[in-house]
Amino acid sequence: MVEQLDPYSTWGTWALERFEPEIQNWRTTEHPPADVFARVDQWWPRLEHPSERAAAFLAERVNDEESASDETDIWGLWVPNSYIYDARHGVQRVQCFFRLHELVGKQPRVVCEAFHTATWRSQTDADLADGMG
Amino acid sequence: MTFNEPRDGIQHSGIQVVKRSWNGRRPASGALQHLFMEMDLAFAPGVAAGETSDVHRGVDGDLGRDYDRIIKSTGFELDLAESTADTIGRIERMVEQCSRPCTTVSPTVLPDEPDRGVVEDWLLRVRFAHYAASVKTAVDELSLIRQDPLADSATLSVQRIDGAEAIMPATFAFRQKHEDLDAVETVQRYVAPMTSVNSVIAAIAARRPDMSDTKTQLLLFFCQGHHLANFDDPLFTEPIYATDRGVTVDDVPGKPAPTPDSERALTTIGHTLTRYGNLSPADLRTLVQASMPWQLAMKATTGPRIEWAWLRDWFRRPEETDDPDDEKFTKAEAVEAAAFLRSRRGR
Repeated sequence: MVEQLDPYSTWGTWALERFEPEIQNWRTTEHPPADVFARVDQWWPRLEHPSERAAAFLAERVNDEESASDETDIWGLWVPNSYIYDARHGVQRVQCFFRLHELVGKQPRVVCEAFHTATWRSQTDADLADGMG
Repeated sequence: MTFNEPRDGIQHSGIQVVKRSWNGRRPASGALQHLFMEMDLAFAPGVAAGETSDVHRGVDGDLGRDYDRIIKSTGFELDLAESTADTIGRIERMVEQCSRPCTTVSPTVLPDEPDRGVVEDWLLRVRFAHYAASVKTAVDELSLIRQDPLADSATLSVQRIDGAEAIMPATFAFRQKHEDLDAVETVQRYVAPMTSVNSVIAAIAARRPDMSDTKTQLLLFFCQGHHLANFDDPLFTEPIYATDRGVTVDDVPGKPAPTPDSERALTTIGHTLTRYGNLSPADLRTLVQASMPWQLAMKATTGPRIEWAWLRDWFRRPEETDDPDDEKFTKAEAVEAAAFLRSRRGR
């Protein structure tokens, strides 16, 4: 029934593209703490495994997915263990945005769109969570 | 009775039913272009009775009047071939069966003679405020469903009302007469491209060759649900039916089954397999049977078909999309993320 088995989508490794320039872009523009940057830089290669992307959320959908092959929907993830504690902003975490390409006959790949530091819990939420609220 | 005739309200078990009629005649065959549906709401104690909310749509996206309030809704199928008296009778019987306040629906049609029909994309704008336990929640949502042109009905739904208890999706199916289907079929431009279920099955088999047919059928439920929730459009065209053992989808026998030629479809399938693929059939069946779409279909008097609107609403429920304990983005975080991506593109 199927011409060619495609093990990549479930267990296999996907090619990762544009992660190195985008993580450097994030470092330059948003100045994350060095330890957080190191953790994120250590994490992103794991995205070659689909299971690592199980919590991905649709961040932006393309209007016409058939219009251009490189313009697929953008998915987002919180980078695990990327917490940044800030007295003013509360708890921040790092988001990773990427596109997926897996049409049969092509190398399945994850293409990085951006890294971004965003507020995960406000200071109020953080106070409540630790009993200080 | 005419469209503008004053309401004839009757009190029934705390639920107000307002009789309406079809303007004295049947709508022209198939058109449905100017179909107004007025929802006369039943209100819970503490909410002023007599308020009404209107939903209507126009040909060019004229969305017309807004809903004012919806407390709770229940499904009602509008059958254009049915007489007014029968329609009202069904409404009343439905209300009698409700053990709690619910919304009643009475159909009306504009006096204009509708053109011969096409089912375009159906738009339903719902703006409502929900009042419960002295908490006011205002929601403004847009619901859009495109349906297979070959299907015999189009389905609109009111999205979940956050904060309300035991909300059932309000679904209104506008069934077309058989003779109109050819006209609908010719208007392909209104229909988003979709994949056949055979292609989806092929993609599942390509990724998990060991998958049993039973498990594949159950996984189709989740593939379709998540795809509808994310993209509004169904992943595949064939209907899903609820069964005692879960769900079933009729594949197309003998047809070749290439995997979908769509990144979006493949992503949905891959994501579904990652999330659900290692669950046992019993696990999957438990999740299906606990779901509102399956339960609604099993109770439906018109057959066990699971409507897309039910699926979409279920996979968009707050527990799925807005759980702060989940690693996924909450709705607020998703909005911020979208703003970031837009700003980045603008650089």
